Amino acid sequence: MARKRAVDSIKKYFDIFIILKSGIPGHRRRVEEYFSYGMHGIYFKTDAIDYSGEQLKIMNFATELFFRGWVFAGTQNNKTKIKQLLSQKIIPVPSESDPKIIAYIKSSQSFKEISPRLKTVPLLDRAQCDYSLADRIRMKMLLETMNLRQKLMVKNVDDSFGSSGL
Amino acid sequence: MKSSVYIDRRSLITLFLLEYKNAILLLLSFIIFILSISNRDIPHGMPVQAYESLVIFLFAVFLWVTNIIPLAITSLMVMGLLATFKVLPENEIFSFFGNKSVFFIIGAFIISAGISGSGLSKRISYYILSKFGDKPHKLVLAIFFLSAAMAHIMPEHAVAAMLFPILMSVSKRLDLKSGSILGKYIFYALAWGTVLGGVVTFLGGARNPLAVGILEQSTGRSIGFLEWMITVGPPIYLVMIFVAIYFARKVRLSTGDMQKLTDLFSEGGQRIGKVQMKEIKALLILVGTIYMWIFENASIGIANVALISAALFFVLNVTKWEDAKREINWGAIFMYGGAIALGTALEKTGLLDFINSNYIADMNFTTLSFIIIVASISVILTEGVSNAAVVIILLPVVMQTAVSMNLSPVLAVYLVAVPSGLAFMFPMSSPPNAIAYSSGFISMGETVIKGIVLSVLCLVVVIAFALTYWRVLGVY
Repeated sequence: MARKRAVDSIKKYFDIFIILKSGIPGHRRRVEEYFSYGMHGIYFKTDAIDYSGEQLKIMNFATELFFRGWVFAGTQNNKTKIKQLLSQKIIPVPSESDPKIIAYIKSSQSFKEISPRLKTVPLLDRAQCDYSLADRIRMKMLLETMNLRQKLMVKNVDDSFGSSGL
Repeated sequence: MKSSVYIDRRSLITLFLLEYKNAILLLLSFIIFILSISNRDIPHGMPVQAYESLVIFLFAVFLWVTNIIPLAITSLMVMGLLATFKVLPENEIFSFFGNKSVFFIIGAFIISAGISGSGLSKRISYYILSKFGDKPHKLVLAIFFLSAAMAHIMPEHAVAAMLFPILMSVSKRLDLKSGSILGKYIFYALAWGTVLGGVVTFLGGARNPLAVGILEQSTGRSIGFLEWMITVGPPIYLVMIFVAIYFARKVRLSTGDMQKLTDLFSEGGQRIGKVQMKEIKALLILVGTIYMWIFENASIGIANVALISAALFFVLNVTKWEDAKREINWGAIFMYGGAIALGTALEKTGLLDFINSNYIADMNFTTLSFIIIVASISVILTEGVSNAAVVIILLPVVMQTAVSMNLSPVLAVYLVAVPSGLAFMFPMSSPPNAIAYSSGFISMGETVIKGIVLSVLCLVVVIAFALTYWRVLGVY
């Protein structure tokens, strides 16, 4: 609950994307819990060179919950691994910042399909840039869409009883 | 990992429609309202104001039935719409809020607050339960009759809310499990007792004075406190006898360590302590008030008695404003003020005359069919709609129909108001049902079946009394 309160407080005062940095949990329920906190995205950061089938399943499950293009996973600067993650609708975050790799990720068809099309992609673009009013409006709309989606999907058990008239 | 949240993974459009169904319904209904009220292709012979009041009425009925905004807010909006569309002069519309029924209801809420705040109602409850609750069937009957009797002098939801914690202690002390027959009938006795008792006087449910208020506003006629009791009491008491026999038969074989209960009641009695001066004062005010309502109704008027009595609770320092204002249901007061305005607008604009002469007059109702149809509609409607909303929706039209059939409009008041209070089937039908249901001893399915049987029994008894006893009394 403390995490949820923290996220709510941030959302109350700032229009920013909130991404949770986490290891890959052992259970889907934990991913649901993170989603229920109100995080906009999740970044699975591990030191592992390769992901196990179970870990890939958990990350894949995260892509079903979080908004398209807002599940990130750390990876070695290895194009095969990057392709594998992109094919699962997960944005790869290279372990070493390499402009060529970033460009490779951004140019791939899978990335274009899932990218939120922001001026700077969180975790990939480190450089600060100026935002025009149109950019800000687009970001605000995206944020509010994501917040609304989260609000609709996260249900309280007590509320469900209440709405059923019990 | 236990969590109180879960992720609903249905399609977003489904979730959106579910989450915002009220807003969507409200928006759609408002658009239809604007289109309808702007329409000038109105039935031939219907005055424009009558048409506008009809559209506002239908809009209000939709909102009252769907409950998508609070009932009281719908009523306030109705007054604003009536004034905006100049259905009646603005001053006249807002003056309906000054109807004496509204002030009677305010007085009745304060009297109820005074009685419960003084501790009198709790003492009476413990006394009755300790005196008669020494056997399971006697306990259930004591709860039933106590609830009904208290609902004669207090709003039924207040009685249920007051007795509920005592009865939960009873069930806990007797170690009753959720499937327990005794536990189940203890809470049925609470719900049915308060609902039945609340129909008999003006104090049990504010829908009764509301109905009388609409009658007064439309016809200038009134119904006195005693007159209401004499008319409504016998059929309801007969139903109560049937229900009491049913309870006694059902609970007869139940067992329980009733010694524990005796201990509980004596502990409760001790906790309350010796009789306080406040309780004596509350009892005297109550007795005096009822006396005045019964015997001085013609000269003083029930609303005036209620207001003076309410003031006496403060003059004699029985209750404090902070306590009283918690008990006053301002929402109900707003709702009734707006409802009376709407009812009067329907009548004054000529809409009821129009409907009657163009549609209802051709139906050739007999008195029997009129009584059966009106009472049945009222008893069915009240299971899904607030009791007071049933009165608001039905009464103006039914009164006009009664007049056109050369029947007294007073008959219409009884035929709508009495069945509208008899809601037994669902927790949401009436607050006492919801309170009893929250005990966990009552199942929804069983309540619906028992509720249907009880509603039919009430309907049959009320219709039988309407055809015989009420005629003898000269109601029509």
